Amino acid sequence: MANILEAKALAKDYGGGVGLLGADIVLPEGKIVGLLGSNGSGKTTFLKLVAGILKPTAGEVLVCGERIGIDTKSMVSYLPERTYLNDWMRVSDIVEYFDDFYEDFDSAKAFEMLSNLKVEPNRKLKTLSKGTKEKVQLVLVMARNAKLYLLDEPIAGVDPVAREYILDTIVSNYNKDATVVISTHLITDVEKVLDDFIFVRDGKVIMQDSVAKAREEYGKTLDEIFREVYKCSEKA
Amino acid sequence: MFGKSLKYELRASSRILIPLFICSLALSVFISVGLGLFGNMYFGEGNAESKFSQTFEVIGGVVVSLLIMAFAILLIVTAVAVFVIMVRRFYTSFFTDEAYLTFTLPVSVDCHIMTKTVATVIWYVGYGVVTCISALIVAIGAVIGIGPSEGAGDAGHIVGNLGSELGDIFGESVIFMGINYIVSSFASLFLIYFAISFGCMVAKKHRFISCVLCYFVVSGAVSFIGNMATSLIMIPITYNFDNVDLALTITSAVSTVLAAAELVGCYIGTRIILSKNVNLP
Repeated sequence: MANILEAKALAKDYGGGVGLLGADIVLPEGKIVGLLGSNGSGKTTFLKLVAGILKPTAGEVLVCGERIGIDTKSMVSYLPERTYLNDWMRVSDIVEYFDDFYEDFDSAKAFEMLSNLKVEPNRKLKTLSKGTKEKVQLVLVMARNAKLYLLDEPIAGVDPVAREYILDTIVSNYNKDATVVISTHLITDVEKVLDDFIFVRDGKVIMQDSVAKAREEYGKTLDEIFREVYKCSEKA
Repeated sequence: MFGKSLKYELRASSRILIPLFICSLALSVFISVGLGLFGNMYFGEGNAESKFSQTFEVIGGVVVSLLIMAFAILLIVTAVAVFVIMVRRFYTSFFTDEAYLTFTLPVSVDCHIMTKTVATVIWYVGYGVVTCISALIVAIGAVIGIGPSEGAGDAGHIVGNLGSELGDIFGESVIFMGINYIVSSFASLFLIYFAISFGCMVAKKHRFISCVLCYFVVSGAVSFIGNMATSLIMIPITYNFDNVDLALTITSAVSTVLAAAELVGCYIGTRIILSKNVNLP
């Protein structure tokens, strides 16, 4: 199985505080991976480095063997925490925008997903609620046939019903040869869809394994393992 | 990708600039109609015969003056608006939440910067066209109101002679001055890009103040270097020249080199910041 992502001693120092401290992460293709940790543990920094929004202070990261650049940006589909959509655009405009810039974008799939969400393509983005805008953004990201999906807190700040819907949308729409990285601190909600997990704390990777293997080894849920590992690393 | 980027950049700015240009043209029509009506009142023959007519002449004169002033203000405001909107587009694309989309597109930083630059040039060409049409509309109103007079003929003659005399004095240096103007304009634009990029890189809060401060510091440094070059190189060389054309050519050429250096420096600085040091919120 080929590796989609390889991070070697990846570090990011913001000057005022360290974002990431020498992370070594390897992700094979065809997996849904949970990037799990508390707020400020370095999850967003890691995703930004892979998406090409930040430059690492040290180390390197490769996507499909390529250094971060224009080529990797055409393979990575990134959902940031923030809403980046231009409010003056209509929903159909932003779909056209993605279709123009990303060769792997499937506009028919996007319109189908929007229809399932009951979002009218002719509506201006500024008329949509914050939650609906986030769903539109998720549709844009998942309608790409990318090699790597980076989803930063896709279920934070939404009600449990919406969480179910978002996770269903992710699981049923991603390119099956690709890898999906879901960054979250809501472990219980995502546990059932994950193949692998990475625990991060204070900018360091403290554990990386398959969910099934860890459950078998510890005889606990991922959420319980997370709490136990966090306690241990806190004492250490 | 450049074509696609430019298409969306023009679309994003057109939603403000096209209505602005239409407003500008509409106001020109209004000024033209005003000049047509009140110009006739002011310049019309036989108006000074009665006391009533004299009052009309005074009112007409005031209104014509105000309308001409309004036209000048309109042109300035439109030019400033084009500038502010294009600078704001640069800021929002690279330093607000919109940057999360900008920087994840499979587009190079060079392409992003070129897109902003070319879009600004296109809108200024558009502004030039709108200004010409506006001037034509206002001139039609003025001709209807004031009427073709001998004075207009004289004015045309004076302008023609002035052009010819200036051509004799400046000669080929006009070409160098034109090149210098174009290079300096681009250098000024890239200085603003650099000031915004640097200001946003060093400050997470109060970014506007940071960008303005940065602009004044960098432009102050550039002006200082320019003045030093003028004092040390250009004045000694051109001081004893009787040939104004040659002196202006040398002055323009040196200014162009300095402006080109400013342009390249600011471009490289902006590129480095956008490639490696973007401080996103």
